[in-house]
Amino acid sequence: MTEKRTRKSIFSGEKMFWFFIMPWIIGFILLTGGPIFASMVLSFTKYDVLTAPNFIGFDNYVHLFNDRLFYKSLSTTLYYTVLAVPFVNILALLLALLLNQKVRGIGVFRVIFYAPSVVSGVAICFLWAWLLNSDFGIVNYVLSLVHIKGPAWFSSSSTVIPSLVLTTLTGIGGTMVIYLASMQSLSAEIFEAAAIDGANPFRRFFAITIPLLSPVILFNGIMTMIAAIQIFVPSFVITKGGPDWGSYFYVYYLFDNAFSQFRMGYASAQAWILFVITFAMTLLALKVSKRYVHY
Amino acid sequence: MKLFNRKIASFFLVFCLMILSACSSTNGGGAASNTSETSAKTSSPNSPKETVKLNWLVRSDPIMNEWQKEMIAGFQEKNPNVKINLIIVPEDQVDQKAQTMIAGGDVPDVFVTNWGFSGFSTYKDQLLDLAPYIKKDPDSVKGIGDDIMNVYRSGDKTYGIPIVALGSYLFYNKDLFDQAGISYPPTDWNDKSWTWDKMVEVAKKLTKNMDNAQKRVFGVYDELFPQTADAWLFGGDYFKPEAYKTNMMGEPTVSDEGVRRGIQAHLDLIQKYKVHPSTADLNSISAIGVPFLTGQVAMHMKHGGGFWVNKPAKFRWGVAALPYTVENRRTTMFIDSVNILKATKHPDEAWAFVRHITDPNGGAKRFMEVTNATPANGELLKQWYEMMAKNLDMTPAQIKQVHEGSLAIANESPNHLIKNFNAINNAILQPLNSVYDGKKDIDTALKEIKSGLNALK
Repeated sequence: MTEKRTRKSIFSGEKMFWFFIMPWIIGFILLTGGPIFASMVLSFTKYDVLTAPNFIGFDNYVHLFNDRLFYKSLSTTLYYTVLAVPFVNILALLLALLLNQKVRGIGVFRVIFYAPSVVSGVAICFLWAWLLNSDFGIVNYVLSLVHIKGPAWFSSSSTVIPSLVLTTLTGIGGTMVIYLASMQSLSAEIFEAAAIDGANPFRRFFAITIPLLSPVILFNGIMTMIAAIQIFVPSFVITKGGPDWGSYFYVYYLFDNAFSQFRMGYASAQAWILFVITFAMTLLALKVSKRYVHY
Repeated sequence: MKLFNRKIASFFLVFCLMILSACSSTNGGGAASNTSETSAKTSSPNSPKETVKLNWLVRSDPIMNEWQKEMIAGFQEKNPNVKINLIIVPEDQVDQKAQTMIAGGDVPDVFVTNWGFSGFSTYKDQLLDLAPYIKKDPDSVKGIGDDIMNVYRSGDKTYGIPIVALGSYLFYNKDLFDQAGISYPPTDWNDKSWTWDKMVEVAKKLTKNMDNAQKRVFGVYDELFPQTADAWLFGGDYFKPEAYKTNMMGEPTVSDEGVRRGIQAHLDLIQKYKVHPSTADLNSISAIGVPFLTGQVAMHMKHGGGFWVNKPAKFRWGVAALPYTVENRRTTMFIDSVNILKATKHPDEAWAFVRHITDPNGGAKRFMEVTNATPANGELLKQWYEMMAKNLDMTPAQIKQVHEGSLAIANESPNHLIKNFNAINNAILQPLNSVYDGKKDIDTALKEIKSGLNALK
């Protein structure tokens, strides 16, 4: 009886919770929480990494709000976000709809469409740089077969952002899988009842599928928005922020400040502003969504 | 449970205190310089029995990396107690790597600071003064002229041993010149018949097949680096003379007439004469290889890196003087030196290694042979002239003339002398590319450049 009580006290639910969660908590504190806290402190300093930081109060923040490139990079990032979030979500949703069909070999199709998502972002960027090369790329070649002169894609400031949005095509696998899993959890009876009542597939999609998926759409919308705000790799690899700052995203500017200009304090302040912007946009999305999301 | 919560709270408190204490190094110098002070005291030059590890940070370059491995093997054979840890990173990541290593206390002991994008001046305060070593061993700089050594001297301090001294040149494809029946451009920088207009005339004759992306040839490609080079070539400058002495950009002088002339000349090559690839063309043709090497460019204005970049060319090529522009023209030279971080724990061993790789009878000679790069050491120059003359089917006198002529009107590159030049270069490059693409006029671009540069002050 005593032995049983002892075991019970050692392995009681709450203590076990803390025991098992502790490795993650320690990892989070040391590897994520620590740097987050450090960046908060550094954002109030002038710090070039090579020498000790000097406390300068809010100077970095004041300077940022007078920095032309800060606004330029922010507007470029918002433009990309406005295009990329609907593009990714609509395509992922439609793809999930296709891959939810009961056809032979559907598993193979699912693998084919998901596979590019696991390839390294840098490799994918090189692939897109080739596909959309204005002279030697296959896309412009195919367009030339139907007598269309392809655009300059990444080389023109008017087409660079849409071109970068296009590169997300190979990365929609993760979003698509979440939509697919959600669709598979929807009750077939509702769709059958609607079909009996005469609802055609379009009506069923807009009147049943979309409303029932609305919490998932909200989740994917927020996740893709956060990812879009943090966009960096494609412009770093393909366009180097050009042409004429046309793809100079916020995080690219942050990276340049930290690692090219050795302004780690300034970059930390930028990171915190980005956090506030992301947080505010997420809250806004949650608030607006209340009218449209059905839980 | 309360006890448990108290323990968690204590843990958080201790952690926060640790972070605070780590961030509160206010006695100047920080981790890197503290390490430096300690290391200088503990380093024992005459007792190198224990195994010593040195980090050598280099940029990724297949040809250079082979030389580096060869140098390490040779040095470790003679110094079995020293292990050289070769750290190879892509050129655009050298600065990040160096920064994180310095901040982490595991510094790059030996480092050619100019092989990163930020350049020597960014790291100058972190470098070991080599003057005491040079004083003890004067042969270490024997053969290196004062004009070259001075780039790395500041007062009575010396921060590097130069290994490379590159000028800026015009590289040309001899096969394309022969096909067009045009005589080669001169190696004499004082030949005033070889003007910018003359170069345009030649470029027009060499430009062909513009409707066929696979077969087109652009007459000329001005890839002079950094973005300030065109201004220098036309007698202007983006910065005041003090910038090069203080290593700080200061107030930019972008409205300088020479700056405008340089931009206009470059723009005309693209938009008026259509003999030069646009930015979009360059993005496109660069994907299939180095434009000069793929035969899509007949004349290539570039720094002396062309001597080794063009090495694998499958056609005959030569080197000539840049065209004559104005009386007060300047070219850009690039002197790379080997540096030691002052935070190194083993300065003596690092110095011994630097001596090994810059030895004109050893490392520096091999570097020249392997890369084709112009040596900084005058003792090697004669061999380099002969070597390049043989490779390019020119005479040693021509190679000597083109090299000496370039350096005679050259100043050290601003990316070596002005702090954090990478960002400065980008602030000039982005608006200029729009000008060259015909989307922005020069005045607007200059205003943007000025505003961009002022933001970096």
